[in-house]
Amino acid sequence: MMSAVFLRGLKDRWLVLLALALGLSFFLGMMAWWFPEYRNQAEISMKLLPSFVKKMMGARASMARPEGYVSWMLIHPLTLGMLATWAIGVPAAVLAGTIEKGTLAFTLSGPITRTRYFLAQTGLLITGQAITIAACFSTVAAIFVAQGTLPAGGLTGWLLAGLQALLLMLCIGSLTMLLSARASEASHAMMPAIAFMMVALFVSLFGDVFKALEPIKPLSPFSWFRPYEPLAGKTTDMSAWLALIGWPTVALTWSWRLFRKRNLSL
Amino acid sequence: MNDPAIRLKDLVHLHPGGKGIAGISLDVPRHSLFGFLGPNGAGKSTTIRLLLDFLRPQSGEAVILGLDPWRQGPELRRRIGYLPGEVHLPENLTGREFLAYAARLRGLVFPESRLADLAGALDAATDRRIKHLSKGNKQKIAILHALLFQPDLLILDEPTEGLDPLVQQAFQNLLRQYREAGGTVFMSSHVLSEVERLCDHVAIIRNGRLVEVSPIEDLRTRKARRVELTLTVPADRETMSKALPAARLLRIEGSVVTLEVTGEAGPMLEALARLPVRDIVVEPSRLEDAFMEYYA
Repeated sequence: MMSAVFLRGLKDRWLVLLALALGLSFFLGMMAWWFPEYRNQAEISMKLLPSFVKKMMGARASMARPEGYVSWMLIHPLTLGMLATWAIGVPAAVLAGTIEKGTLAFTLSGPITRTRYFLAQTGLLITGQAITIAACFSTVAAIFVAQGTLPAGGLTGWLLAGLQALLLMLCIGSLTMLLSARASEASHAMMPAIAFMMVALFVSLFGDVFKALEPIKPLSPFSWFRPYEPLAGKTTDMSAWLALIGWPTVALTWSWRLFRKRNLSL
Repeated sequence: MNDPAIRLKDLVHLHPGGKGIAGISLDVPRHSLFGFLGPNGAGKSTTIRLLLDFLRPQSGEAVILGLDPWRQGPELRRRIGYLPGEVHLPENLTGREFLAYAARLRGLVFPESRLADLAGALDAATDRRIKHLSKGNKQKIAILHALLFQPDLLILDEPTEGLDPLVQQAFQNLLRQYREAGGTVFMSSHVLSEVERLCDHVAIIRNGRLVEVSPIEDLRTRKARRVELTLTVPADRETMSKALPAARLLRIEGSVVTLEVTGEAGPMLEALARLPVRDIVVEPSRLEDAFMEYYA
């Protein structure tokens, strides 16, 4: 039953998934392709980059090194935007969106519990996000290997950076799931999720610039997204991993409880 | 197995605005076609949503097919066919794909031949994308969804909304066949003539409370029937009052007498046999009269 819901969701969205995976792979692949040329001018570019961007990339990151360059690619607004399309769109559609469209009545009139339905949709969120990230990471890795410019962290570092990107998007996705479990229209879940993402990114980027933001910076999942460290072969501190794992765990558990107990006026 | 198909006891679910249901107790006999009547906002859909665990009651109990709808929901819903009041199907699928998905959700093999029979009976277009179907054709797909998996209980919310008269008739025949095969139907409707023609039991709900639950024949018997007699001689009020003491005389015009009779028809016929009657017209009592009595 769960697999039926999961596969239906995947079938309904395979075109979006394909477009995101190919689009991201293309965009990041192009950036990776330009890296050797870019490296020659990296020192100039580094001087041009605002300090907060350098901090997000990694305190001592340099665009001349692939790990610094890839970190920049991963916090590029287009990358984050495309990754978040799935992280926000799917959770909003599968709970609040189905209530809005009225199709949830047919699914839940069958012998499936709300918990199983929720788990199937969470599986869809994670799977789609993992496919997108895997596609673009493997494209970029292949290009770097071909150029002989693989970041210092090697394959392990590469996988850990991908895992961090996945966890970051699950933070956004789980928050959308939480909103979606309460809302009766997809837009009521999407809009606050987008607003949260913008605010969280702002807090994370400017936490060091505007001192007033510093105390709330740890609340932003973007503050714990440190791809530079595994890419450079360094160990990311445990608190970053715990925050990135804790965020979605808490939000998903909470949204499951809300969805399980809510009255559905379909 | 003499337990009712649905037993509700003091079921309460009030929405924040005060609407909803305020203490419903009801038995729906097995193998019956049970009509659930009431105007908009009376609580019909709220009751149905409670039965399917879309809503949880604030108090009260329910047993459906021997199961608790809120603790044994999946097990119960496997045995229920449901047709919602407003049909919204996944638009990007064909009817067949949607029904195949519903079969997978139930862990069943897709009943291809049964679908062919049902789709034939309703003249349903199962191979076209749902988004290209008219409202009536979408309704047919939803009806197929309710009937396809041979449920023990059908819960139908305004089932014939949007269907043309021919398809309505075909659908009613399917429901009769379904009942004859041992199924139970619980249907809400606004179409009184349909409930009257189809159902054997009826419940009328008003402002979240049941105001009438009875076999439809009992309801009809209790209602006054209008009888028009044409006598061979001019009638007078005194003679008629004596001859038909249980009837209410409405009008006498020459030899034509109009009266209202309540209860069993036997005593009235015996009394009429003693009168010089040339012609008699009995208007059947209608469900609409009972309904209007509660809502007028």
